[in-house]
Amino acid sequence: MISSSKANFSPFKLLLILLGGVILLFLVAPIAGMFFATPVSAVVESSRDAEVRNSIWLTLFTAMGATLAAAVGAVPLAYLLARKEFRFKRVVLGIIDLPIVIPHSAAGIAILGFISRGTALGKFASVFGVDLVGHPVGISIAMAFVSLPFLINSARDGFMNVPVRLEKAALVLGATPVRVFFSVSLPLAWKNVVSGLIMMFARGMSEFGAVVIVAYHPMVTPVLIFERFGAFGLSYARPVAVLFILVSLLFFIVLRLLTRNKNA
Amino acid sequence: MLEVEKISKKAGDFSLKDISFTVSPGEYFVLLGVSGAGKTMLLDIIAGLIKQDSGRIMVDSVDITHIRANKRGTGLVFQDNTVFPHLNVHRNIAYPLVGKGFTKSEIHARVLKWAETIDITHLLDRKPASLSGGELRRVAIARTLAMEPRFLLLDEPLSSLDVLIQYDMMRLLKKLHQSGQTIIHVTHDYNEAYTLADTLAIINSGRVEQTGPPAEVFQHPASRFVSVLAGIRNFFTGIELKKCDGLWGHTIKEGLTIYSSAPCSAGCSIFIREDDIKFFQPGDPAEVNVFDGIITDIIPSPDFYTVVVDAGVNFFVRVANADMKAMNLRSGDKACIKINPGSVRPV
Repeated sequence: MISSSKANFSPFKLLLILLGGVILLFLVAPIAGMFFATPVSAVVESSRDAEVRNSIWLTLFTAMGATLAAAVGAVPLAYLLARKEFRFKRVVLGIIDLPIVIPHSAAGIAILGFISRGTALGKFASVFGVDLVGHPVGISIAMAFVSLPFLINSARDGFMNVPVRLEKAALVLGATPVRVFFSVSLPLAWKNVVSGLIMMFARGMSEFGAVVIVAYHPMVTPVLIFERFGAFGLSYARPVAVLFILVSLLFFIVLRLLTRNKNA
Repeated sequence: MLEVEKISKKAGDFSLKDISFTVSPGEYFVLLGVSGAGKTMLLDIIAGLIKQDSGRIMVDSVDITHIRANKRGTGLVFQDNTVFPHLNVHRNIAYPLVGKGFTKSEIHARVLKWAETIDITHLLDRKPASLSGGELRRVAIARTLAMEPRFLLLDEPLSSLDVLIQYDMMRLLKKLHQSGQTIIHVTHDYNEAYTLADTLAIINSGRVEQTGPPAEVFQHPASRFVSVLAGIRNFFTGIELKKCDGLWGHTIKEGLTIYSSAPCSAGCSIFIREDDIKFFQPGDPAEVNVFDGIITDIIPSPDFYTVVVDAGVNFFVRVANADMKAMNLRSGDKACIKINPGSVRPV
């Protein structure tokens, strides 16, 4: 009798597993290597370093601020794009994906030109005594610029998966369009919207190119890692990188746990 | 009273053309037509989900054509149920009541009332994903009734349900009708329409072809389409009409003339019910409308057989089960049929 595993064996399946394994190894090996090469004591020491702690908090707050502030406009835009057909819609979709394809240092230059003191936004901020260049708000703006496509595209996919008939049913049952959005469309697209928020937050946290041009100081953690590497070498940059990865992982796991059965 | 006046709507290659009908309070009005006839589009227009190109909708002489869907108060139960998957049954039924000035306990009382009426109180805590098709349909109806609509619009409410559940659902709809609810029901099923309707409108290719009580519509179909819907397959259009000995002769094919006693005009069609065609027995007196042919098919059903006789055209003859055994008819046999001129009905 032939066992089921033997019967299911095929050289093609083996090839798929081998190729997939190489890719997984490629993703895991550098990070695992960094973890193995970093003594726990060095990571603990880094966690006691005020500069490191401040930069991690700054990174978390600016990324979170960027995500929440942008979501106010991005989620309705995603809904509009999922539901409405209009002229130049493809152009709008292309514009939304633009930050993904342009170099992030170039994005930083563009943002700098947008928020510096001479611009309308810069002048508006200076009314409140804020110079956006080198300010956490400026950092959030740079983070938002490069990470918005992740939220908009994910939320748009979520809204597109909500059957229009459900929204029509809600309308006929007497709900206003606003109530239809908040009681039917958003809850049913919630999983994708939250995924988009988490992806945007993660992408914002990890941003270096655009942020370093807008604000070298105060230092977000990617900039701090770069600075420690440039000034002191690999062994000084590694513990900060490991600590930042651990904090990021912890944050994402908590966020996923908090939002997991929301749509069940 | 709901008055649909000359509604027209073009959507791609399809269009509704000058649809008009009136539904009185408490009436059970059925729109019967095949798939693609425009029934669902018409319900969507009445509910305010689609804007018509022309025509208007009046409720008690008030034009509601430009009133938004969420303000019309017409309850529409969609064919695909559209029960909100993220809410349990209780919250689904409560949906139209939230934000309408009711307290929580009032909402709960109303949800219970409609759940009891529709017999789904045992499902109130369940999520839609765990419900059967029939249960989902009941939840959708209860939710729509909770808004106490003046007109309950039902889009194919018995479709895709198994036979036993269809029967339960039909009883439920009759009960709602008896309680005074005005219902507008669209379907493609002749039996469903005949069983439930006070008034029937036959819709075909975007036009209403005939309106009236079901018995009247099916006894006197105004077109071939209506006769087909009514299950009448012996429908013929004459190519020549002549009067002879007090009868009207309809030549439906070269050498084949069917005589009717009812007066007709040139170009009219005729139909004969299947149980009005009899097999000619030896010894029967020779009459008009006696045709020789060959049995080409015998179609059984629980109560009777349908025998197809090719006599130049196909005649469909209904034979009771008991008679079938006695007559010993078989496919390929020669057969002679007779039709009483009084049973030939002009359209």
